[in-house]
Amino acid sequence: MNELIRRALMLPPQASSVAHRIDVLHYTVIGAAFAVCFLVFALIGYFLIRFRDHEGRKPPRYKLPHLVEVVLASVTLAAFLAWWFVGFTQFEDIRTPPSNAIRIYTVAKQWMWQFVYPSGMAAEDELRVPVGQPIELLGTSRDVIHSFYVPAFRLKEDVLPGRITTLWFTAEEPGTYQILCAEYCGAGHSRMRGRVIAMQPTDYATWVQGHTSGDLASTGEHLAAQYGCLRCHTVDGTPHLGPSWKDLYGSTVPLDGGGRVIADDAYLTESMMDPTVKLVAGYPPLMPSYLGRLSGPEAAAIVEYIRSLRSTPGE
Amino acid sequence: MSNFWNEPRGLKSWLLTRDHKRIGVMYLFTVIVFLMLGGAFALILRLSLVEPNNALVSAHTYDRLFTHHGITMVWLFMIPSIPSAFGNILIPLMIGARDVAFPRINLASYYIFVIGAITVLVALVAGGVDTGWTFYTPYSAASATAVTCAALGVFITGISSILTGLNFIATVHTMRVSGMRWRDLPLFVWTIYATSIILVLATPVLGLALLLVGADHAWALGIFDPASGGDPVLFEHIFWFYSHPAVYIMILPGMGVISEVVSTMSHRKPAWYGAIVFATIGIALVGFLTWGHHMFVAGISTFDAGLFGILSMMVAIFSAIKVFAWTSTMYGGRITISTPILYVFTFIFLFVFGGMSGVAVATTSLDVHWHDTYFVVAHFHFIMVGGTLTAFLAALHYWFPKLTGKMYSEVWAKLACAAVALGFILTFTPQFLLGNAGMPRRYATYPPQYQWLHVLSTAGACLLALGMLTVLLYLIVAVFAGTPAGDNPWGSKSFEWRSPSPPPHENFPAPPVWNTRTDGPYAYEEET
Repeated sequence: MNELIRRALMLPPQASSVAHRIDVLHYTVIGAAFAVCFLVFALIGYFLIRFRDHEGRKPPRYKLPHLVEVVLASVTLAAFLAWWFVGFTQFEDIRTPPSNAIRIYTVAKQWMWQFVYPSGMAAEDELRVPVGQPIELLGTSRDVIHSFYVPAFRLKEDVLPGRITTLWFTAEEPGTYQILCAEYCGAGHSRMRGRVIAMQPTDYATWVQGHTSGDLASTGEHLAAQYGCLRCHTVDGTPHLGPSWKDLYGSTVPLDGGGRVIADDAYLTESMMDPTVKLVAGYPPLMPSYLGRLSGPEAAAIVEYIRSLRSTPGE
Repeated sequence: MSNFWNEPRGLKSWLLTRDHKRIGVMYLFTVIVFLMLGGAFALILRLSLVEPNNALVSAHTYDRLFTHHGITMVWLFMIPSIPSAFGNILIPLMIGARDVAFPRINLASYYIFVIGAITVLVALVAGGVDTGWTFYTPYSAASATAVTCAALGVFITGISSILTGLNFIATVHTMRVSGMRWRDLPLFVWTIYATSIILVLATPVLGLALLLVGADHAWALGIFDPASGGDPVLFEHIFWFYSHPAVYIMILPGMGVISEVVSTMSHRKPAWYGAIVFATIGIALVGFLTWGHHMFVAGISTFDAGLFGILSMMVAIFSAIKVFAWTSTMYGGRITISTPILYVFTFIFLFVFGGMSGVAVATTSLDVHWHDTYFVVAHFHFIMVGGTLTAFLAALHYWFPKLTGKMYSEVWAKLACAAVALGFILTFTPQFLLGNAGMPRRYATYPPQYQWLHVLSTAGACLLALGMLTVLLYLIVAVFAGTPAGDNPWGSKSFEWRSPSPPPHENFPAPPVWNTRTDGPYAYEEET
């Protein structure tokens, strides 16, 4: 039955843990719309025949009592409120990620999706996840507003510059599901597509192993994603909320309030621990201090990662 | 016969007229021109969507076309369509007045509207705008197109809206014929009054939003740019604070038209008059508190989403009350089948489905899937565009004999009505299904699984265009060669039909007399 109505309404497969529940509410509301419309037009049709104008006929002047008005309005209101209640309960679930969710960072830009995994690995336009495991996407945009949308999951959330929005899901069945951008973002909007590849947990584990290397720069990349550095610092040269890390290491940067400094290990480490002391000119003093949050080896690994982002390696 | 068309004579007497009927007629011609322009944009869009990879226009052209389709239809057709055209023509006639309260401001309002519309056209000629009619930042700040010019044009039409709104409020308060109480006002007057309140209160906020966007685009002020400490979601709040009530600016006057036509064609007093007035004012006021339902997935809090959801349900209940009231007005009446009431039936069909799909998207968890898809496009085209357009056509056919003293061909009119109704339903029903299937809006190209529904939708759009052109043709023919209609061809009791058709310059040859029991706008029960 579910399958029949789903196909009749052209809905995509129900591939996430919430999709089936949402669809049942959908069927109820649409069913009621058809019922109300049928009722109204059945009445209008009957009145048209019964009270059609004939020469010389005196209209009967029947009147519906006010009670009818009150009952109709009350029943309608009760139905609307019931839908609101069920819908809002579902909405709260959609918006509250479980505590055991895997956190994956999503960075949107015109016109691609980038996903940064806990291991520090990044992939473009392709999000691999294990089935049965809650995934929490923390999304931000580097330019204009985008919207992460997976029709088969019945989920979407706008991805905005300057803030993090979250969306969580649990994929139910292995398979490939379309990611679409739902917020108009320019000439490439309709081409900003990606896909979610839901895999069996064992396949996912093998895939993660195969894509994680053990060197220090990769650890730094992983840590930079984990601590949220990449929310504000890009690695491709685009300035965002903070300076890009691309070609930053070893370069001379102008400071807010005058002066220059060479971005070496010391300066980069100092900036992690006390970011506002030597602020790079042109950027707002937004960065929090990581003093006490990053250990020495972790800070070093991040510096190593920044160092690895030079286009011309060499001391 | 001397009437407002031929007395006084001359082009100058038209351009400098202070006669509310002439100003209304000038608005009517102007908005019909913009309806045709916006419709032409829509047809090009629909034709280019027949094929998934958009052979007809480039993606950038597509983006500018849907932007100008939206701007033209919203601000140059739907907002002024019924209030400025039919409101101007009818309000003084319906309340037994000689003119509106401020005839000179009324004329100024028309010219300000024209200046604003021309400014929008200048933006179009300068290459157009590609931001969507919603001007969302930071895209609009960075766009290389004529954003500032278009925003300025819309800003100027807003001044016209405010002046017209103030004029109508003052007119209803001060110009009613002696003895006409508020509870005697025709329902059309009530809806224009409620609309005017929204025009006056909401339009300044639109002006604010557009000025900030225009300035941001022109001088890179970074008002809504996070890198400068701004917030793009703030723009969405300000924009929808106007643009949601704007939906009621479009639909409330339409509801007024429907109330008038149902009552006249059923030869009955409107059922539940008090409830309709209450619902009209309720829509106007509660409509100010629902803007957040455009932003359920835009990063607002779960609590806010729930609150805006429940407030949106409240607005829906007022609309439901109106549908029940129109239906029960027919009960026990003497119903004449004519073209205006066929448009009323089309309106009710679109309004019930559009309204129920509105309740569906106000249900927070359902909106997550539908938001920014074709489902929303179909929803607002059904209720807002379909509602405004069918009410506009109902008004045009209902008051055509009032305006011209002529009658159009009923056969052609009924055929065209069928084409418009079927064309409209065929255009947008597939779009509901496209939205269910996950097709986002504003896509110049699309995944191929959506193609057959797009083809159906385009076929519907062609039928709709054919119907609309037919209306234009037989109405033009009727102006010159229509049969004489007489002063009151529908047998209406409403006050505007008591003056000759077309009315003379001073509206009523002798000052009208009002007695609520026998002369009320809906005194059908006194019929012998």
